[in-house]
Amino acid sequence: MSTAPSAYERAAAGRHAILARFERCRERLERNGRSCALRSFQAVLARRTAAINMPIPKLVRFIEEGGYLSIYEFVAQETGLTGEELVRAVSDRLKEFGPVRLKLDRLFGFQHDSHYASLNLGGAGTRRYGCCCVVFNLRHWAPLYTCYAGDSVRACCHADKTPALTEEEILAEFAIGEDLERLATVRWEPSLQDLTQGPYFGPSEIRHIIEAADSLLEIHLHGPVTRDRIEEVRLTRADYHHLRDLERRAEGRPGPLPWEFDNVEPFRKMLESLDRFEVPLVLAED
Amino acid sequence: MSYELWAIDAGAGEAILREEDRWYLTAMDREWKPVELESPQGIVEWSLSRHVVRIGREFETRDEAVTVARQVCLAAWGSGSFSSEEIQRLLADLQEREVRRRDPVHWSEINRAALILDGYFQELGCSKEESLQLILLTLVRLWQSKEWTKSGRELNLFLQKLARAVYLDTRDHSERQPQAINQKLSDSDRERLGRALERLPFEVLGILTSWVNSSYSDEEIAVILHVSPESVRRAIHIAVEALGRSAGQLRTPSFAELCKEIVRARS
Repeated sequence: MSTAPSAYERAAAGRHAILARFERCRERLERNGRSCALRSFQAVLARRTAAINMPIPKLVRFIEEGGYLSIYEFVAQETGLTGEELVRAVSDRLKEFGPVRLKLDRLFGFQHDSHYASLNLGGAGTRRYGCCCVVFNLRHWAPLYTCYAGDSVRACCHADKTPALTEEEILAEFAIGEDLERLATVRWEPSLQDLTQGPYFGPSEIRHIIEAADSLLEIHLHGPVTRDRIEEVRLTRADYHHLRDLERRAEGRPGPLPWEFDNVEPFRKMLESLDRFEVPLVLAED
Repeated sequence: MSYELWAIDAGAGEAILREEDRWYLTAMDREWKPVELESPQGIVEWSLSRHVVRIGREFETRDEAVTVARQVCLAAWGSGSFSSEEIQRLLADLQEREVRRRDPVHWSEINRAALILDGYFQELGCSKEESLQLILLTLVRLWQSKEWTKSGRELNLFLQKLARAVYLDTRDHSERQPQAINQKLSDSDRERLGRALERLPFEVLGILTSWVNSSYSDEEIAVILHVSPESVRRAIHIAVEALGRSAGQLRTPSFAELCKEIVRARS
């Protein structure tokens, strides 16, 4: 009997197509004399980690409570509901967005404990989701994690709530974790073919391609995301110094503090919690 | 145009606002400056791993909605309360404080308090009319005390104290009433009360004169004068306030005589 998450099985079902696309891509790169570029690209990608960006208050709660929860897990924890009742409760909370979320989960076969992360090669992650980049070693979920070349939510819906792509087109970018390097090669082939680049890539150049502001490779972690699985937490040096500066300015300031100081207390708690649970805080370059 | 505080995740220090078809994320991390989100992607993405507590409350301005979201988040952080139920409770508390700030007299509570006071005075043997007068006096004292911003149990306790004081005051006066009945008004009292009666609206003076010159109830006076019982009560209350005497002290032959003199003079 299989114990693989349904999302993994769905991704595995489309594996032959990913392998075929990768093979064609590899041949094209070889023909253009870019095999070395491909090899360095794959070598850097082999050092991958998964990262989840979140705001400071969210990180404090994660560290303190020990688990990073999906909306399903939050609602289950609060209501004790399971199965279809839980799905209905989540959909009710999301109101008009409930059907979009359910459709997304059904399409990819996500379960209630599936969590969205992004491929990370050492940067500060997708900062639009929060300034704290929480980094995880993928071995905790390997080999049963899945990935998506791009932003699956954005791929699934247009602003007017109609699908931007067909289901087949969406699932074509969905792969099992083992094929992440192949999927990334197909996705970023134009960058690898770029003849203005040298034949070899360094980690920072690949980070520049993959972790660009408009670029994302999604990783789906199926199963619990817990505090003990955190490798490190990254903050950009600029964010860290800004928060330290706010903290200093807040000290001894009389009366209610202006709004910009609201993050000072969570920041203090974050440093305290990270220290207590011995989670490394690493400063990332901007 | 209205702004809806659509949902909050206080644990993350974030809230979603809606202004017609436009959606915004306001977050502690971003100094609460609203950032526009694409719909539906932005909101679905936000909700993936958020403790979404639906709020659905509308505000006249975006600033007002952001301020409430911030206050709820800070209060939740202060108390460590993040569940849906606790967030709704924090929001209700905030809302109540806001209503109280804007309209210091919380009428629903005052009405409730009036009912409790009515029961209290009737238990002490007061007639309905007496009870109503004592309630009015108690509420006037509440207003004068500047303590009307109290709420719930605090307000009830304060009202009970006031009610007891008002009752004892009027009972004192009532006990002194037999003396008052037999006593003529002093010249200075006549002069002072006369001046105050002259300043009363004529309608109030007319009702008061009929009332002090009889032993009829408020309702009976109302029937005789073709006015509502409420007008009778209001007139007596105005007179009590203007003359600085309790209703019991006014229903005396010498004061009744004075009222008639003033009515005649003003007619």
